[in-house]
Amino acid sequence: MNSLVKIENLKKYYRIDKGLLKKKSYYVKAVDGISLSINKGETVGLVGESGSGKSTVARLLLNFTTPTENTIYFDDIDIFKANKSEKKSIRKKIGIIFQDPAASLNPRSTVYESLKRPLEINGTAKKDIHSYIMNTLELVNLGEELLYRYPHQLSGGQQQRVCIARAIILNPEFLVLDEPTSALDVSVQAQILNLLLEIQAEKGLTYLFISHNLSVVRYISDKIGVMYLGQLMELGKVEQIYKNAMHPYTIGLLTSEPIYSPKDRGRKKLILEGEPPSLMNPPVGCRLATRCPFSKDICNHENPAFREIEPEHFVACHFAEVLDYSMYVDRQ
Amino acid sequence: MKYLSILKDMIKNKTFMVGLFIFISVLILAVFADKIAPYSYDLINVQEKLLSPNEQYRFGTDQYGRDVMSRVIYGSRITLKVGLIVVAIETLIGVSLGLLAGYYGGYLEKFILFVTDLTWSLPPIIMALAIVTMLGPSLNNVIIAIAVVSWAQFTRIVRVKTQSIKSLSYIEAARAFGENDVGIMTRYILPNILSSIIVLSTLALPTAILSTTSLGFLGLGSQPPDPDWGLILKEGIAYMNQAPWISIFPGLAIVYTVLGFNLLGEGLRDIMDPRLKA
Amino acid sequence: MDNNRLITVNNLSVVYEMQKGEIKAVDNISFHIEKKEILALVGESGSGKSTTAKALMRLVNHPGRISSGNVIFGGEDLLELKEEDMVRIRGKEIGMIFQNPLDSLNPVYKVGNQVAEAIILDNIPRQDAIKKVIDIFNDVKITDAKERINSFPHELSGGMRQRVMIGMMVSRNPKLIIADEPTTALDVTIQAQILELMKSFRDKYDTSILIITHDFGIVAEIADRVGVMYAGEIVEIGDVFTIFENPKHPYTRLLMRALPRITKNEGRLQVIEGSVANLANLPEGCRFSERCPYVMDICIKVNPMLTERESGHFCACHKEDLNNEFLG
Repeated sequence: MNSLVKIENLKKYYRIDKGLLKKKSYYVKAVDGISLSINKGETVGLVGESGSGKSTVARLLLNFTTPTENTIYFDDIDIFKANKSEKKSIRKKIGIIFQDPAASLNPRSTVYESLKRPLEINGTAKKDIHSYIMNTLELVNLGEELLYRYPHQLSGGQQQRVCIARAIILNPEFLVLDEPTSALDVSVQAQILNLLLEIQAEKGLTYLFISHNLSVVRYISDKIGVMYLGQLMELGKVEQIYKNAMHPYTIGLLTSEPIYSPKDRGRKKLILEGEPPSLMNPPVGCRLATRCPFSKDICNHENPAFREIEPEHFVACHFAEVLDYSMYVDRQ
Repeated sequence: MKYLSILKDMIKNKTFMVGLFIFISVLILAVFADKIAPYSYDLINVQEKLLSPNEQYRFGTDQYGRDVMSRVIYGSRITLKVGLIVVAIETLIGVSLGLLAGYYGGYLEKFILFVTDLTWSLPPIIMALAIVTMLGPSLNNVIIAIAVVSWAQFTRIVRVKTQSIKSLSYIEAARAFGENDVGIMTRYILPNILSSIIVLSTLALPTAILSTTSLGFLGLGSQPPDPDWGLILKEGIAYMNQAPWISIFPGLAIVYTVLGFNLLGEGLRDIMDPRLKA
Repeated sequence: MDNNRLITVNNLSVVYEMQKGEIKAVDNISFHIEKKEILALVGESGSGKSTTAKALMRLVNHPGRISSGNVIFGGEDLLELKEEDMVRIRGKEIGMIFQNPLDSLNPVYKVGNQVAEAIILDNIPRQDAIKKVIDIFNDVKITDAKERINSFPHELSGGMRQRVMIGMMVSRNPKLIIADEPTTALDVTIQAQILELMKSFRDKYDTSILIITHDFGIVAEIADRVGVMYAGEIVEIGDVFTIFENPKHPYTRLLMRALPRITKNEGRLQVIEGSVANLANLPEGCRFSERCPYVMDICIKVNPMLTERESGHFCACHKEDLNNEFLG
């Protein structure tokens, strides 16, 4: 296919040594077997709560950390085994946007300086730098007058636009967006989301959009992956996830999501009791078994396989085909 | 911009302003010593020896008939030169090690911390004594000796601050578009801890001056006839009964300068980085 | 009618002294909360909702101060009380839950002891207090309550800590709980549990709740009435069903439309032009006029007052009816 990013059974474990003589070792299985592919021009949303591992996936994609097992292919190149020049060219093709725009900008650099630096490092000709910056500024709808301001003199929305500008100024192919609107007001969030869609259309970008907010992910994604405790519970096209979700965790998220109108108050919620187990030495069977209202014996012993239930719709649940969720969501 | 408000804070802070005044006064003395001092610092005039302060010799004369005031004025040059050079070396060593330790962590950090703690735990004067004894008494050796035992204070603070900045998003963003380690340390971390470094340097000045003066007092620093304040003080001890002014005036000069620099540093700290108060 | 009112706020204003001048974070707002009612104050940053909550508890600190108004609670004006009397009210009559429970819990004491400290204030002997803590922990659905009372805050998850906070606050059965963004730092599934918990307390103990939030979803989930704040003022307030069905203020309407509820293929989110009003530089007329698509001449000159449109539903807007205008 047209896969820009291919991830197969990716694992990232962190080792923690405890005890007096550091004899006991625990493994924090932050990412425990993720398989995912992102096609060119597509937006894949990655949804999950804290501890799900979605941020770790982002860090692996950017090569901020290396995997414990298996790898990630970008444009068919293994990003961890690539040589120096391949790594350099890959780095130019991937951009990142973080959650907190204020913390993502050097407080000592003006907007101009923050945008100039990536160009300088990656060998842009001096004479072109100014025009690149001006063009990008226009793309993100920022006025020229903000060029010489410092981050603390900008609003949250403006700061995030600068971050977006910085991320696209090298003309990347792929953007990793880690909770880009979570720290913003609702009205600003709408502006930024629309801007992201605009830029994507104009530059043919591919997005990995990470968020804990299902409605935001639904708005911007083509495909959605639902993560829990380091594993993918479900992966499918947006309509499949919303109209035909097949994993109890997905249903739990969908029904816990704040509603749009008080009229929906009476809706049936799939309650996941208790708290997620610790990431250190997680349960042997299905990760959700301790909280899932449908769990049976097999769920405690066997980790369900990530299977394709219908075309392009993957679910990791022993009972995916049999469970009926119609009382929770409106199945059209 | 931001600097205007800092300027306003500076003017409002009395500690800083007094310290600044003292610093500038000493600076003027040092720079314009030739014009201000009535006599040369080594002008010997045995007939006029041990005279108490009078019209001609405002601070009196010493055992060789030299004008004490002129010697004190010229001595300011030594004091400032020594203070500034020592602090410059301390800052350079201390900040570099702190940056490396905080940024890289791991064994490098452990090693640097080990050396730092070692240096920190040794009493500075004793260490300096040992070094000067090995290398021989001279002003330059004193500078080296003091600088070498005093950089620990910078390393610790810079290391901690580096660690806290290292994990911020803008550092990760920089790495994402290709900044290398040196670039990150110099362009992103250093500018953001600069104000703290300035404060620490200023606060290190009085200690440096006091230490070098002490060594001078022990005869390990400048050698006669240099008008090092500590040296003058020492030489004056023998004449304490007959001519106490020989020691008193350089002593007062030391107190004045050290106090002034302390106030300057504390004022600066209150303005720029109150969290260093611990 | 008035007998059912638990707390009435009249003409409350809070100003902050900044270098550039005075900023009115809250400007002459009035509202009330009935007994057993959940009122939500919703708004974006700079709306003044958090400041309002703090003002009710008299927790506004320098450089802010309450510059006018009164807060009638239990027959007294809370703003007139002496600080020592206010201390009696806080915790006992009015409880407060903050956004980040880690900030509100003392990291060096076990959580059981912290909650017990609150109970002991009512002259209950220590032995009984500990037993009561276990009951409270069970009440707020903390599993293994007996073991948990010996945990330190950092040993608990965010959701658990928030439950401890809630437990601490309801332990003395206050009449009103003020919750300032209580679930913002929590995961969605935990948030759902906490909101259920708060609703159950209202039902069981007849507590009224004032919930401060930026999330309309939370409002839809538990509020009985909702007030929408913008730039320090209440621009619309009324019964939650009416407001969601038929928002009368342009800001309310646009804000609801800015919430993503569709896929990108179904359309684009409605964007409110411009950015949130600058409190240091407010226009003469309506504060929303610069961004309002329905703006008329009068809006620029005169700041509209809150007027009752239908029973219990108030709106501050010169335009009578938005229904006929289609924004596309």
